[in-house]
Amino acid sequence: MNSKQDEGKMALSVKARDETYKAHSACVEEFLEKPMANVVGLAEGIKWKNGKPTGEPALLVLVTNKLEKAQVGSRDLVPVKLGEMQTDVLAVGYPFAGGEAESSSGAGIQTLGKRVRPAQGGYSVGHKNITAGTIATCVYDILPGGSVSPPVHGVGIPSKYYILSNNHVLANSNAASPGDAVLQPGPFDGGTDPADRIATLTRYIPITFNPPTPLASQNNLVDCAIAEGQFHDLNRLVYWNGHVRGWRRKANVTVGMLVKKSGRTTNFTTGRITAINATIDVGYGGGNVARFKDQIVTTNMSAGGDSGSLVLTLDNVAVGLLFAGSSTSMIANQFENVRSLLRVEVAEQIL
Amino acid sequence: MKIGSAMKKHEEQVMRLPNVTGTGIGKKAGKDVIKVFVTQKLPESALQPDEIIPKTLEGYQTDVEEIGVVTAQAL
Repeated sequence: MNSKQDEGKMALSVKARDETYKAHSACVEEFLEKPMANVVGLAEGIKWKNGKPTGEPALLVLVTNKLEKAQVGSRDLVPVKLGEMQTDVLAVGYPFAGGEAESSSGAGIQTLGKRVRPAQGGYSVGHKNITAGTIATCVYDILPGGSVSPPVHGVGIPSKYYILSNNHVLANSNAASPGDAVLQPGPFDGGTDPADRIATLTRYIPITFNPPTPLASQNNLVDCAIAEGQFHDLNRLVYWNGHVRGWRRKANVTVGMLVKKSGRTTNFTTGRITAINATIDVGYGGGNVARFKDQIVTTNMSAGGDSGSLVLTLDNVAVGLLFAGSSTSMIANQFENVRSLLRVEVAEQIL
Repeated sequence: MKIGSAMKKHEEQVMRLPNVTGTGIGKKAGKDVIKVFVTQKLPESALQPDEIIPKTLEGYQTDVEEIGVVTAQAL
């Protein structure tokens, strides 16, 4: 089998894309108006025959599951053509918003979405006006004698203790004010104010968005924030990972390293770093996009709701803060940038 | 030129190409490469000549990876 040729045939050319776009626009509303068994959508794509891509444009009828012709009533049979365009049938299961719910185990929401005191890394958290994200771990201000450049640990008595997570989790993507309530679990998991208030927003690093700022003029490095809570409510252990031994300078975070995280949605997962020093455009919903520099990219290990998870080496050294992902990859801020910009300590050693 | 500088030199231009959503330093067959992340990988035949990602940048190989659509991961 010529796999290279097959790969080419899986893609839709720009010209074909034009045709499918027109065909799709012409019939999508009418097609989806009358309910058909198992049909959940209509899309543009490639016709497959006998398990192989043909490279020919087609309208894809999205179904929850594929059935034999004999099992489908005549009015529920997908037509061979819609308008002038051939069709194909693609099984997609049950779609859901925001990459949330229906993890294959279904256990994430049952465990790390619940209320817990003291709260710890991996559990659900969120600003009162958001849905839910994940607690990275708990941190404190850099102590006297400590600095960010060069990175040195201070010694002394922390005056405050904080939950660490993303700006878009604790500070509602720049929309929150210091002092706002942070709930554990997050509102999506049933957290209400004031009953489930665990902390109040202290500070965040603002994200520059497009609009209004053009992507080329943006210099985002981190999506991070801290919220102050009471010491007895905050445990800096990370569920299923334990004690964070130290953190790693970004120069020593390398491609190929294995990493792990615990998060509210996909529980405990591991992955491999596939790129560093990455510049990535990230969608925040509502048409807002932010360009981030100096990011870590790993294999797929997260989903919606895992935002804020601490990314650790297999021997519990903090290397990153998870904030975004796609169907193939996870994106994390360098932990050194999080420490420098928020001026907080996650552990007492550089490892 | 170091690979990081080579990437930075061309980053803005590469990020302007259609479907490109990121760049980064990766590895391929043991060698450092400049990765270019795209929402969708297309054959060169489907692209205009000036839309094709160069095979090398300042002597470093590029590696185009389909990453899909990257979004923030709250719910």
